[in-house]
Amino acid sequence: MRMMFRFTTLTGKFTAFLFVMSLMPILVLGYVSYTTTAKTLVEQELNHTNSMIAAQEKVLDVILREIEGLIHNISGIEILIDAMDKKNADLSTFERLAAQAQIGYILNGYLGLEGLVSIDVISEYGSHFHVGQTLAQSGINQSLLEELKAAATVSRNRIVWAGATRPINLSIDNDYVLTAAKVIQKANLTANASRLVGTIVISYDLDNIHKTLSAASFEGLGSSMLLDQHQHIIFQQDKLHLGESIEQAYQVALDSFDETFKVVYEGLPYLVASKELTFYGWTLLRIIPEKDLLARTQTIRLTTGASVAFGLSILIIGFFYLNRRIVNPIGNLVQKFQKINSGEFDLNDQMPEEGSDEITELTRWFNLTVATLIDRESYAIALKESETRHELILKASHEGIWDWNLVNNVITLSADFAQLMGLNPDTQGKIHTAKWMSLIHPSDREGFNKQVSDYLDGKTDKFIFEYRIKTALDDYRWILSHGIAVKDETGKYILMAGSHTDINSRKEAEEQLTHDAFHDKLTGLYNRAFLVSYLTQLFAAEKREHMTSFALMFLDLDGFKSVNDSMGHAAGDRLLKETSERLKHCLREADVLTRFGGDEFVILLTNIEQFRYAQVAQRIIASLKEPYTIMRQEHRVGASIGVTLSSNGYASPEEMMRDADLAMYRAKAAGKNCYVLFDHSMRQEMLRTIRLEQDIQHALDRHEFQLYYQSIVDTHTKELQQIECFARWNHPDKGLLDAIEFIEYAEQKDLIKDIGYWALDTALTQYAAWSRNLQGKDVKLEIAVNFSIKQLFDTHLLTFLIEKLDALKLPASALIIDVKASVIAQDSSRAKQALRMLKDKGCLIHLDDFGMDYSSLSYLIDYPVDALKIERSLLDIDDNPEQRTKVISGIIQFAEALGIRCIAEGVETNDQLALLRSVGCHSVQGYLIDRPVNADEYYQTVIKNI
Amino acid sequence: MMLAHPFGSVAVWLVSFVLLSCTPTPETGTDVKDIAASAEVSAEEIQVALVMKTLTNPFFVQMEVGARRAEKEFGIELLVKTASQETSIQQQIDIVERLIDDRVDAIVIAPGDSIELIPALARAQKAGITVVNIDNKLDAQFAKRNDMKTVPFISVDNEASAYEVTKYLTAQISKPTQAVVIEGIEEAQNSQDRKNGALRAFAESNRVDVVMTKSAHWKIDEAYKVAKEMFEQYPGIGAVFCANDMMALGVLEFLSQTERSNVLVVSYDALEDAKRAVLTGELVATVDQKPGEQGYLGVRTALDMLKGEPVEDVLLIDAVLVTKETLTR
Repeated sequence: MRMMFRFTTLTGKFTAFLFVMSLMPILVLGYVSYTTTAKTLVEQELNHTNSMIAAQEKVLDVILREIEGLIHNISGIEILIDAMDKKNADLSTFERLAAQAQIGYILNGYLGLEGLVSIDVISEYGSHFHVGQTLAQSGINQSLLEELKAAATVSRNRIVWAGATRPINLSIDNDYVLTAAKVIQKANLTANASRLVGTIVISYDLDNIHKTLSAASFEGLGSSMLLDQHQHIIFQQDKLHLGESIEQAYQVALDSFDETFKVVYEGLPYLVASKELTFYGWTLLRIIPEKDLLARTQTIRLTTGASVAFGLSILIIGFFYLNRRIVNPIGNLVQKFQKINSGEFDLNDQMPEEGSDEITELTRWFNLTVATLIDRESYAIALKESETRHELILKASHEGIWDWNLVNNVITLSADFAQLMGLNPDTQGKIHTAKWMSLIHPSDREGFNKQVSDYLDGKTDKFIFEYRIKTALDDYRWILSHGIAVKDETGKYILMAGSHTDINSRKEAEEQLTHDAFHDKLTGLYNRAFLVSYLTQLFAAEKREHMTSFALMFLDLDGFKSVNDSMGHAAGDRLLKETSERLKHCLREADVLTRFGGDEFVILLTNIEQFRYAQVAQRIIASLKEPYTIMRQEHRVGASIGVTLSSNGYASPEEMMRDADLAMYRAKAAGKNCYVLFDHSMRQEMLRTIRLEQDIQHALDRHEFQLYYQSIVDTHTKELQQIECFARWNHPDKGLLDAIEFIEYAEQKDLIKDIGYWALDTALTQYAAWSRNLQGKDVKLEIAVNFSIKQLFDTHLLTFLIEKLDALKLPASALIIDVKASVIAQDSSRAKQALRMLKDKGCLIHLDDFGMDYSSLSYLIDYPVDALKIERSLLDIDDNPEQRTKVISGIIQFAEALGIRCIAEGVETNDQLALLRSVGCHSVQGYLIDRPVNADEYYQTVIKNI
Repeated sequence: MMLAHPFGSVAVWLVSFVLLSCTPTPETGTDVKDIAASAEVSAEEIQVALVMKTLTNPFFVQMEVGARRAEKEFGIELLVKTASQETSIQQQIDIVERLIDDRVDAIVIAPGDSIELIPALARAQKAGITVVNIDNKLDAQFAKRNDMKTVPFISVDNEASAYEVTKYLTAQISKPTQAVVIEGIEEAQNSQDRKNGALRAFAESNRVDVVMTKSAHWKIDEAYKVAKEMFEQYPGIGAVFCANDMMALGVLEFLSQTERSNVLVVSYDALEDAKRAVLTGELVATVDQKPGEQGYLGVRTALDMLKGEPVEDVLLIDAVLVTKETLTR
């Protein structure tokens, strides 16, 4: 809070005002009352003093008069005078003593005057008569005596008041006494003058004067003093310096005595009232210390001081209060106003409303006003913003305002829009309706007109239409027009006004979107969605009209995967792009080429007369056969194509696609790089397959599978060496089915896995059981299970296998893994890995179908094979027997050399047996020995008989 | 800042008011010395009044001197009140009365009369004033009758010393002589004692014949007249005993005037003038009864009594015979 005490401020004025109004009067009052009181007190005191002095004077007078009376009396005593007159020397002792005694008697009578110290009668001739407070009479104070005599002579017969002096009689104890004297004179007869006889001296006790005068002094301030003509103190209230000269006592010289005068003694002021006793030349004084005199004014001073101080504090309080409650709020409001004026203020910066007085009201109204101002301001801003926004929006949104005078058919466009449209600015944006129409895209004109009439007819509540308009650049741009029309008093529409929005970019975006929705990004071809949609349309269309025939070709790129894997996705993409180009070249414009995703393409041939599809397919195959050069590497891919025709009578696109897909798979299966035309048999086939699959699933559930066991025996001894098991299916309808019938199908689906688990489980369990049966018998037996490629690569199965062995407490060597060479061929490294693993565990490995296509001799080296099974067709002796024998023999020797046993399977005739015996084949298997039978039967026939 | 807070400043002011107003209105002139101050003599001195018989007898002058000595020594205030004449008994009584009024602390009195003073002195004692008796003894019986407490008495043995001095006189008488005794106030004890002492001494001498005793009331002029009367009646008087010097001086004046030079006179008091007379031979002898000492002792005894100390009822001091020889020693 700044406390600048300028008088121009409200506070300053107020303070000054308060000061004048409150303090000044107090001060004035105080001063006046003080001075008045002081004066009154002084006057009172003086009056008092004067009365006192008067009283004192009276009392003094009485005493002095008494003394005078005494003197007079004494001076009248003849005897005394006579006695004085005699020379002392002349007197005899008797005379002297007698005279003394006599005078003593006389004088004694006068001693009754209280306060009398002594009466000394001193004759000129030496006699000294004395009565008094002491009997002693030593010497005379001669100097005083001379003084007295001198003074007396002057005053003649009157009494000399010497004032306070040393005693005339030296034996008098007192330091000072009041001395009065009278000389006694006798007339000189001879000379014509008076002769001094003696002096009567009265010594009066100053103490008594003090007592008397003190009694006459009332209670009062100050003290009285009586000074003699030599300014010796006859009487002093405190008896301190009786007899001394005032100058001596107080170092104060009083030259003249006004009735009242001031004197300063030891730094303090005193008021002195004096009265001169002219008769004696003495002065009665009353000395009053001013402080005491004015003591009572102290009350006034204090009260005034207190009032002033209190007033000041009120002033200060008032000052603060004024400041806080009035001036500062006003100041703050002023500041706020300044801020508002300079434009910087905010609604939050409101003034707090304290109290409930006018200032509060002011503040409140200020706040309201500010709020209103702010509101107005914000409205104005909002308005301005809105306008600006509107302008900006207009600018940004390529909107243009237009109005259409329906009466004179003139359309007025806003400047921006006109410019956009490339219209001549000179026309002021006015254009004839017909001209406008001409600018509209032909295909949109009809729609436009319809919309307008619909609106004007009241069918729609607003005119709104998207259409293309030709710009100055001669290209069409999409615009969206809004409009509302107003009627005249007759109800006829006279004016329509609205806005155009340039939606070209939006439209283009939409188109793009649409395009994107139906196109494959990579190749730019149509995508699956499009094809489906197209097909759907076709189907829909065909339903209504005569079905056109078309073909659907599903194309799978063979070998794409390997390129993708080996060269990376970039290469794969390039391949696809290339492929799509090549495909395009094989097709006509009307054909729809789509990329289905991955490496699949689908072609819709719209015209298929004369077996065009076949031509196209072949062309495609040929085209794709050509090597691709991707990243400086050559690649070859192929195509597997499945074709289906609409003439098959499909109800939906999905059906058609499914069949085409099926055909494609066929093509693939057929060896790729070919095309397959779908026919019903395929469908049948497919259905069958599906059925079979289902059956297999059921079979697993219903335990329709059985393991059949066949013996592998020693060639010579026919001793049982191993048991091979085969899966058989007790098909409810078809009877017992060999593995051949279903394994292949099972292989294609994952059902083979389930079968595999079942087979292993069953085989091992059965073997374990038979082993227990054969306990004690010296028989070394193994069980062989056939493994397909899926089974071999199924790590879970292998784990299951080992666990099963453990669970059944069977050594791994009890199990023979029987794999066909073709299995190995499919993925040799993986197969090797799996077989190694099994071998490490302890299982035995048989290589089946040795001698067939994939039998690579190197297998025998690379793979941990324990035995190989010679393929049955090799045992077809009838066809070229010698050669055959040599081959078999060779195989056996070859295997033997490697430590691998040979098992011949499919031995049906004794001849074959003989042959095998002769060539040294270790083991044989076949119908000749036994036929595969189920577990129970096998047990009965073989196991039991061991 | 305390002043910044309005209530703070009020508090400050209020406190200062209170402090200011609590300043007592100063008593008139407590601080101011001298002139304005009303100082009174704080200590009251012991006032002892010495009441003597007459102003003009040098004997009493001496007595005052002794008392003054005591005054100075003991720091008391001595008031000397004296009757005008030896016979001014009433005056003495008045003096005592006034002293009772003035409430002196003690009265040391040499009473003119041994009886007359008693009532007043009894009243003085009742008023709490200590009474000491010097010079002339108060009548003890009368005092007792007046319910007086014992009053200490200080003096000389008047009878003895009177006897002694008279004896000195009679020693000088060679032929039969007529003697007279001039006494003081008859009622006064000391006068009686002296008279008796003198008479005893005279009686022992077979050559002395006391023809007359008369009072001259201690006064010099009265003694003159008495002497004149005596010598008119008995012109052959050869010895005179005066109870005090003043009377003796009066007698000597008469003898001088009548040119009677062979009368032997003895007296009492040993005044300067008497001593001079002794030296000239006019006076045979006198007695110094140490008036100063009496005065001193009287005051001292009074003080002792005021202090509550025990005092002797009777204190006799030795009187001294004053003869020509003793003076010329």
